[in-house]
Parts: sequence; structure tokens; C-alpha cells
Amino acid sequence: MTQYSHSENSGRQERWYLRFNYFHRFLHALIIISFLGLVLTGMPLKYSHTAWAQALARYMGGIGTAGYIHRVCGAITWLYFLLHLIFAAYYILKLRDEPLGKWVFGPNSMVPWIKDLKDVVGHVLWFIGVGERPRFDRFTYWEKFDYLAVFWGVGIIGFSGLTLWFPEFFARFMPGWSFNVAIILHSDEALLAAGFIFTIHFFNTHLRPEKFPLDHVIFTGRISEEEFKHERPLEYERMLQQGKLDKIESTPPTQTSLVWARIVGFIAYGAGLVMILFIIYSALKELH
Amino acid sequence: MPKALIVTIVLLTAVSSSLAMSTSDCFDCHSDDTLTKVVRGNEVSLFIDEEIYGKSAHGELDCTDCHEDLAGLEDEHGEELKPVQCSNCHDDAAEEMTAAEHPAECSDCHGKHDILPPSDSRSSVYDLNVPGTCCTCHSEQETPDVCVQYESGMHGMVLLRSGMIFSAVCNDCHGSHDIRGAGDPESMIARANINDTCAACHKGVVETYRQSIHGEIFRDSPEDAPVCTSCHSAHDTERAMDDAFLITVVKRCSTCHEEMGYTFSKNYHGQVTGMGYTRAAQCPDCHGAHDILSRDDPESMVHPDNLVATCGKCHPGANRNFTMYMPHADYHDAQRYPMLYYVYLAMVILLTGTFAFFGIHTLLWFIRAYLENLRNRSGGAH
Repeated sequence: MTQYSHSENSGRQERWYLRFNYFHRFLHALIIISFLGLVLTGMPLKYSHTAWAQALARYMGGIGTAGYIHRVCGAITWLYFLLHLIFAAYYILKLRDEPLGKWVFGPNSMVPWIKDLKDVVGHVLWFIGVGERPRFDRFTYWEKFDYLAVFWGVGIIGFSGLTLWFPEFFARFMPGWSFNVAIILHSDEALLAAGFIFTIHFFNTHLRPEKFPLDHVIFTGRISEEEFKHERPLEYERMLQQGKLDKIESTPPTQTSLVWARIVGFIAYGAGLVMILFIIYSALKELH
Repeated sequence: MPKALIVTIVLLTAVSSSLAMSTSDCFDCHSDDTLTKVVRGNEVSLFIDEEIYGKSAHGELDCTDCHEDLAGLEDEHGEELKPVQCSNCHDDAAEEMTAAEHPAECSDCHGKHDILPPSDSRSSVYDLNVPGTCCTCHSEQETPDVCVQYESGMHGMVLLRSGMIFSAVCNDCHGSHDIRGAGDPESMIARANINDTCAACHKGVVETYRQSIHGEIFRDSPEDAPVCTSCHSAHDTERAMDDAFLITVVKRCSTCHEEMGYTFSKNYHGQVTGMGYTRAAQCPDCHGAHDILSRDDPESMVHPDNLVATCGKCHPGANRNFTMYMPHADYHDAQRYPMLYYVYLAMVILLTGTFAFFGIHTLLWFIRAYLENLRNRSGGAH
């Protein structure tokens, strides 16, 4: 098995391909900004009895201001969610004449299918030294999980958040105790989201030895040929076979964009790591 | 002969009257501002300002009216004088002092040769000056310092900063001559009497309180009911609309209503209040303050019939549905809130399951990727 390595060592001029377009990257940027904002302003309320939460809220100008920022970030979340739904609707409309199997269960779809189940098993077996590493397509099973987790998360957290933002309105057709339920869902689902993104997503996507310290593809949109072949052989081979590879070939990422990717990425790591440590510290303290 | 007799009588009279001391005789010595004596190693001035004395409340009296032991003395007196007995004239005040056992001399508060009537703004017991007078002894003597507390409290601010004469000063609550400790049942600040003491000024709220559930309990057993000072501090009295009061009001109510305080702090209103955000509801916003009634009372703010109006104070447009929100819910309590408990339980299972699976997944992946990296590196060295 060939190990992917960064392109600096390769002798010939390396090819680059476009994996994410401007729209994908723009949505991910909105997610980063709003998600960090939501966690930083929301967790202090969940852990309001702790000293770190009090201090964090104070630095933001009090929990009232934090609540204001939280709602702005919540609105951004709804914005990217709706933009994505419009994008998905457009995509579905474009493909509606194709057979169902091609676009619902095809390689560009986020819908998990039998191959993903096989990949989970195969990947874990490979972890413990059994068998070959599964060959992945455009979206791996953990990427589909990330996507669906955000989709589910925005649905649950977003809707419960809206009811808590406008309780007088939602009480017209919901009983008041549903706000008690909404708080539990909102708060624990947020803990799941923050805990998952700041540990599992960061590791799976960026921090694992093959990608360390950062996979810039979501910022620059570009993936090198070598990495493409190694990471997503099925997609590479299909594109090659269909003669579409040329269409997605792009210029290499500029040095400036790589620097920016790292700056943004490391800020997000820092904020995420600090929040995770605070949460773990509070959880351990509560056990005592 | 009659002439000589008359002269003799006149002379004798003059001599005899000059033998007893008069006020002017006293000032022969005591107007000297260098006149001192030593008391327990300290030099003490014996100077008395004749002008100040003359204008004092006692200016018309002779020295010997108070210093009785000097009456009839013909010449210089000894170093030790008997204590002055104010009670000879001020017998009412003296009786109160004796009964209350406040360990102070009349002069400690009123002065000596410069005593002015309490209505005189220069008097040490004029309302504006009372805290200063009491605090010559009571500052730093007690922990916490009641004088510092009073100064920063509402009564002190109104009196000392705003200069408003009607504010409460020490003696309005503690008495003037009948000052007694809080443990004394006759004290103005005894638990059973404190409401009456505050009512001297705060008549309206005390009357409202008497109609409330707290007032009702107080009538039956004063020891079991909150009194004014249970919720309001005695010396560092806050304004009830100030943040400092609103943030701490939960703690005050929780002294008795411990469980409600806990469940409040676990819900939204309590969480943001705990972070210093006072625009959210605190106990009095929903339950009332001096007018708190039992939930079963149809007039109560939290009686089911009144909840729409109560919630509507902050949540305009709140309807019957809205009032089904449970501001004191505790999702750990499966008995009382089974639905919330099971929602919470489901979330715990979801979180535990997700983190367990991906935790192990990530850990194994890391080990494998790390080993792979090492192998490739050593492989590359060949």
C-alpha cells in the first residue's frame, strides 16, 4: 500500500482536482462561524453554575449579550440549512429523470447504503489488521455520518431553539411543557454536536496521521492527484473511465489560501479544544 | 453705729457669697486652654469654651447644677469629681437606659459642655449626625462592620449622599435610650417586633405583608414566618429593583424554599439569573413580593386562573398553552416528571452510544494509521 504524502516531495508537476466548489466551501464557512459562535455562547448557559462559564459569559459582555450572539448564529444556521435545502432541491430536480438508484443511492448521494455498512465493517477490521482497507468513493461512511449528524442536529437543535426563541408564538399550537422538552433536546443535542465535531470530526477529517495537521480541501476545494487516488480510488477510477477527470482538474491551491486554511482551522481547533476541556472538566467534577 | 452695722452686714454678705463658687469663678481657671490634667498617663484638656457652653442647651445652668459635689465649695476642688447625674432632670431617659443596659454614658452620645437640643443641626444626635455618633463606638467593633454596611445601604445612601433627613438612622430602628439586643424580646429589632419597627416608615408594604401567606403564618407562629429582615438586609439594605437585590433574591427565598430554589436554578430563568441577567424572572416576578399568597388562593399570582396574566407580564401574548411550561421542572426526577426524565434518558443513551462507537472507532483508527505511518517511513528508508 502506498502512503499518501504531501506533494512537496513529488518530482513531477502534480495534478490537482476540484473536490468542493465555492458553494460547498461557503456553506462550510458559515457552519464554522455559526457553530463556534453557538457553542461559545450556548455552553456557558448549560454550565451556568461553573466558574469558567461565568467568566466566558463575562468576557462576551454578559449572558444577555451572549444570548444575542447565540440567536444571530442560530439565524446563520437556519440560513445555511435553507441554502442547502434549495441546493438539494435543485440537484434532485436536475436528476429527477434519472433512475432512482442512480441519484438516491449513487456515489454523489449522501444517503447511506449497503456499501457504507460494508465499509464500516471493513474499515474496523482493517484497524485491527484484518483485510485490506476498503476502497472509498466520493463520500465515505464517516463523511455521510458527519453530514447526516449536522442535518439531524440542525433539525432538532434548530427547531427546539426556534420554539425557545419565540415561545409565545409556538404556544399557540404547542403545550408549554414542550418547552421543557425542547430545552433538554436543545442542550443535550448541542453537547453531542460539540463533543462530536470537536473530537471525532476533527480527528477523522483533519488530525489523523495521514492528514495532520489539517486537511485543507474544505477551504481550498482542491485535492492532489496522489491523495485523490489513495483516499477515493472508486471516484477517481470512475471519473477516469467516464473521461470526466479533465473537467475537474484545477490549479494547485495558492500559498495564501493554504495559510488562510491553517489560520481558520487552528482557530477552530483552539476554540473547540478549550470548550471540550471545559465540558470534560465540568462533567468529571459533577461525578464527584 | 447703724452706719457701721450696715457696712458690716454688706461686707459679710459679700464675703459669704464670694466664699461659695459661682460659674464665673469656674471659668477663672477653665477658660485657660492650657489647663490639663493627666488621666491614666494621658494629658487631658480641662479647657471649657465659655461661649460654646453659654449657647448650649444647658447654658443657663450653673456649673454646680450638674457638678453637684462642687456646690458650696469655696476654693479649688480636688482632681476627682463625682459623675454628673443627668437623671436628676432627665429621669425618663435615664430609666430607659438603665432598663436596656446599653453600655454608654449620656455624654458618649450627647457631649458634655456643648450639648445642643436634638433639633439643632449641630447636635451630635441630630438625625444627619446620628450614624457618625453611633459609629464612634460601633465601627470596626462588629463583623461585618455595620457602619460600612449602613453607608452603602439604601438608608445610608439616602441620608448621607442625598442628605434626606427622613431616612432611617440608627435610633429609628434600635431606639434612642431603650437600645436592646435582638435577643431581648422587648427589643425593637426582636423577631416579633421588627415588622412593627419597619412599619413606622414602610407602613404600606407591611400592611400588604400582613395580608400575605407569610403574614398569616407570622400571626400564628412568628418563628416560622419570614419577617422584613429575612428578605431585606438590615444595614446594607438594597433597593428591591436593583440588580444586587434581584440576583440574590433567589438565595434569600431559598433559605426556606430550598427545593424550589434548586429547581429554579436548573431551569432557564434561574440559569440566566445565576449569570447575572436580571431581566429574566426571579421569584417575586411570578409569586409576588409582600403580597405572596398560597397557590390555592384564587388571588394568587400563580393560581392557574391567573397564570396567563402573570406570564404575560414578561411574555406578551402568552396563552393558556404557554402557562403549561414548568419553570421548576427537574428532569432527574422520574417520579414527578416522567416524560422529561425519559427524554433525558433517551438523550443520554444517544450520546453514550455515539461517543462509545466513534470513540473506539477513532482510537483504533489512530493506532492503525500511526503504525502504518511508521511502517511506511521505515519502508521508505530502504
